[in-house]
Amino acid sequence: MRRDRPTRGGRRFADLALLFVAAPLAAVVANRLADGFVRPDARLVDGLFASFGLGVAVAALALPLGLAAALAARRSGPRLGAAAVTALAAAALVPGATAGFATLLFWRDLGIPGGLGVAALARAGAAAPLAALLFLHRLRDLPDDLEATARDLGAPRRMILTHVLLPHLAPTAGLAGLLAFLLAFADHDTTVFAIGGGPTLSTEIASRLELGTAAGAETLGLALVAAVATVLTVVAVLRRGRRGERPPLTTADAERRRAG
Amino acid sequence: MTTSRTIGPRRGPLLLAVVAIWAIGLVLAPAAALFERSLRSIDPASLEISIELDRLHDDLAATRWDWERTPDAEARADLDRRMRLLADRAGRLAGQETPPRVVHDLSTHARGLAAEARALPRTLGLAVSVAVVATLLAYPLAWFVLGAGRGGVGLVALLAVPWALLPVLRAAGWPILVEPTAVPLFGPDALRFVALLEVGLLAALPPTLAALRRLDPGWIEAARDLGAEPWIIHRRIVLPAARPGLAVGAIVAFALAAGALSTPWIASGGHGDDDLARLVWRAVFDAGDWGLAAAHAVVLTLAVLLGAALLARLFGLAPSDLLAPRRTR
Repeated sequence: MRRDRPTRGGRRFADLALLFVAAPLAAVVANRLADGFVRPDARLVDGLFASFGLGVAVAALALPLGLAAALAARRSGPRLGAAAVTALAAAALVPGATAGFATLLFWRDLGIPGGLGVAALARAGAAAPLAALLFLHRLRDLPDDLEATARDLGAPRRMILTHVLLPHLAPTAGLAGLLAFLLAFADHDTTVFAIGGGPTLSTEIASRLELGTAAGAETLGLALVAAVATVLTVVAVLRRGRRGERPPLTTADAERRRAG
Repeated sequence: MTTSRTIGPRRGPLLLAVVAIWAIGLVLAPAAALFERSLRSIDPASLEISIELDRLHDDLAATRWDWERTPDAEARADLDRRMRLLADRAGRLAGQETPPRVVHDLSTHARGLAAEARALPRTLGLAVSVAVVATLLAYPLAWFVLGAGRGGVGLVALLAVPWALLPVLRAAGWPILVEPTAVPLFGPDALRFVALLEVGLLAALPPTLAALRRLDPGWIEAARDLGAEPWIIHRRIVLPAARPGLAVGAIVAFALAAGALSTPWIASGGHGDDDLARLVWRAVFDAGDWGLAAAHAVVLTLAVLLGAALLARLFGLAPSDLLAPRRTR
């Protein structure tokens, strides 16, 4: 999107916002530099793997379930569809503590104690509706006549799904998957209830902060953030190097481009 | 919606069944279990005999202790008579003892009321202030990020991922930066606000960015060519375009702040009064009182969802907007 160059005041405002977001993490880094880094123990490393597994499991659950809900909401009538959107939004907004505790209660009554599986189900209860809402948002950009044309040309419904809808939704699927992974990996509030005493990175860091023994947890967390930031920067730099003609982001972009 | 807009293979019932199963299994059934648990209590009348039996057995044990240690024969005979009497009564009552009877009433909710009355206003006050300030900041921030071109959006994404990776660790930075008990006026709550604002701001930014990216820059150029002042351009063109995004951002920021458990607690270094989510945590992990935790969780969820619905109405956000094809501005 083409706009005017940002003003000096605007740039300063953006810098302040950046500082605001970076400051607390910088404080933890400074704290560790002063007190020394501590090798994380085995339970923390287990927690890191558990968090990663949780993220993958929730993303794997949220994408197909969210897609099914989005397609179902879109094809149902206006009143049912609106009710479905309201329900999806409500489910996505339920506080993490409620979701975690309710899921723990429900599965314990069925004889299944808290653990990674219950935590994944608890988190997917919010991630799947979120994915559905993102899919619905993206589907609004799909030109109506594209489907109609495909149908008029005799395309079977399955083909419309695989050749029109899914390609259109692919970028959003990537975003929704990443979001679901992050929201599960990083989560404390839901997981602390549903995990049933096992370690995840976030719950371990939180409980050690409360006990005042978080040196190893902070070291591991900072190492992780630094590693991810480095990888992302390298990827971004490499991509910038071979940035040529990119596919248009939206149909509106494409039209604008065509119009010159 | 006409049939010409339906999509996908003709497997409507199957699709609906899949959605129904996950909606029930992941959301509705746990919610129902939570609600039932918050209403469940034990009828005190059903415990009366058991309590009386406990008392009799305590009494019996105490009397036997005395009897074993009293050398005086007359006193021993007295105690012996008393022991027989107690044993007799206990024996008769034991046959009448009933298992505890589970009833459904509001007694658990009544127990939670006092703590909720203290926590609810502070939780909502904090969440509303976070939502307002996050929304006010998200608008100019989104404007400047877009002004920096596609690189700006990429930069935000680049920063957001490591940012989103460990919110617990980020919250831990605030009590290092500022001593929680030393903040004038608001004390530890100021740190909670700042930490939650960070969460709310980063949650409000993406929907605002998404809404503004829809805005055709031609509108702004046209307005400027026609001599419109910058603030008129914002008020008449940019702000209306950003409005749905800001609405979503405000709702998400409010819900995240009102329901947050670890972020405010860690940010205030454990100082300050309990928020609603903390009450749920305490009831489970400190008191082991799951019924009370369920009651607190029900109140927390109702507060968050009702607040979000109110905000949606305030901003004129309708669920059907998400189903209609987009109108380009």
